Amino acid sequence: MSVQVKVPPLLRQVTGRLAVVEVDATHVAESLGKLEERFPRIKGHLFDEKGKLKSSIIININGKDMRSLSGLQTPVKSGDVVNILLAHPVIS
Amino acid sequence: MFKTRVTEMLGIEYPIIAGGMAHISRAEFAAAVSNAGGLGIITSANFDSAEELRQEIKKTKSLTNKPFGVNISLFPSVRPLPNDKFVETLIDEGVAAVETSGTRSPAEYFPRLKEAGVKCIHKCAAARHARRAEKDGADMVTVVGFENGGALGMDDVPTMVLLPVTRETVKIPLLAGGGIVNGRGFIAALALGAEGVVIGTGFMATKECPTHPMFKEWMLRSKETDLAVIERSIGLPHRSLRNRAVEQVEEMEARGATFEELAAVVTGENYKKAILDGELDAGMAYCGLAVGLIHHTSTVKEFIDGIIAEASAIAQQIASLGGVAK
Repeated sequence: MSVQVKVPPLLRQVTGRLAVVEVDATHVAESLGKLEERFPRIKGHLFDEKGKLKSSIIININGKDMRSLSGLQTPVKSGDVVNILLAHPVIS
Repeated sequence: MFKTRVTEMLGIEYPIIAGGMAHISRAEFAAAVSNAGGLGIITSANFDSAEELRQEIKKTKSLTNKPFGVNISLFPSVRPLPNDKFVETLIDEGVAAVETSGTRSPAEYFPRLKEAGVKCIHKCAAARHARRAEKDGADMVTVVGFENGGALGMDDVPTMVLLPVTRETVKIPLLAGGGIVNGRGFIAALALGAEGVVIGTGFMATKECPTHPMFKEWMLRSKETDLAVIERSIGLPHRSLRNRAVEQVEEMEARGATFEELAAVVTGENYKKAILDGELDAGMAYCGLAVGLIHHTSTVKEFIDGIIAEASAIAQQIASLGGVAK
C-alpha cells in the first residue's frame, strides 16, 4: 500500500481527472515530488516561481493541517492520506 | 414545547441554533438568539487572536445570561487559525457549546472540550461524516442538506433524504440544516429524524443580524430560483444569491480559471461589501434556497416565536388527521 495523495477538483485538469494518486514516499515533500514527476504541470499550481508552496495550498496529513506538524518535512507512511486543499478565500 | 435531547443537553428553550456564519456571527446577534430561547453562536474565525475572541465572549456574556456557543472553523484557510488557543479560551470563559465545521475532523479538540463540560456539535454535509463525528465523540451532529447556503459539501444530497439516511445510523442527537426557515421546515425536520434545527439564511433577514438593510431587502424580493452554486471547482461549493460577481465566477469556472483568478473575486472583503455594506454586486452573497420563503424581516425573537407557533399549529393539524395512535 502506498501514500494516497488527494487532488482537489480544480487541479484534476492536470492529473487526467484523477482524484487520488498513489505514490511511494517517506515525507510530504517527497509525495508532492512524486506527484509532480507523473504530472509535471501540477508544479505551477502548487509552488510559486521561487519554489515555495503557495499560501493558498493547504495540505492535511490524515486530516491534520501540515502547518501544525512538520510542514513539508512531515513523515508519511504507507496508508497515509495527503490531502491537497485550496484555501477558502472568504475565510482566509 | 418541542423538548428534545438538544434542548436538554444545551439548556435552551427551543431546539433552534443560529449556525456560525463568517463575518456575521458576532456578540450582539448571538446574544439576541440566545435571549430568544435558541442557541446563538460566535464565529471564532472572525478573529485573528484568542484575546479578540475572549473579548467577544465577554461582550456576549454581558448581553445574555443564556447559553451560547462558539464556532471553530476547520475549513482550509491561508491564515492558520489559532484553534488550539480558541478552544483554550472558550473553555476558560465557560462557553456552553462548540460548533465545529469544515473539511477535517474535529476529533483532536473533543477530549479537552468534553472534559471541561463543553457540548460538542459537529456540522457536516454527509451522513458518513456524521457517523465519523459520532465515533470521534461529538455530543450532537448537524447535517446540512443541498438547500443550504454557504458550504454545501460535494454530495448534493437534499435535506429530505440526508436527514433520514443519517438518522438510520447515527444515535446521538441530530440537528438539521438547509432549507429551514419556518414552522413547516422545523416540523418536517423533526419528522425526518432531527431533534433540532440549525438556521443561517432565516436569521440573516432578522433585524439584529448585522447584514445590511439593502441586503435584507434583496433577500425579501429573491425567489428560490435566484441563486447559484459556485466554487465547486475548488472543492468547496457554496450557494449564493445571483449577482454580477457570482456570474463572473460562474463564467470563470466554466472556462477553467485558475485558483488565483478565482481568489481575486471570491474574497472576504468583497463578501463583506455585499452583505455588510450593501454593495450588492461586489462579492459573494451566500444564502440558502429557503430565501424564497422569507417574506418579511422580524426581530430574532419574533422569528423564533413564529417558527414555534407555526410548528405547533401544524403538529396539531397533523394529529387531527387521525394518524396518531391513542
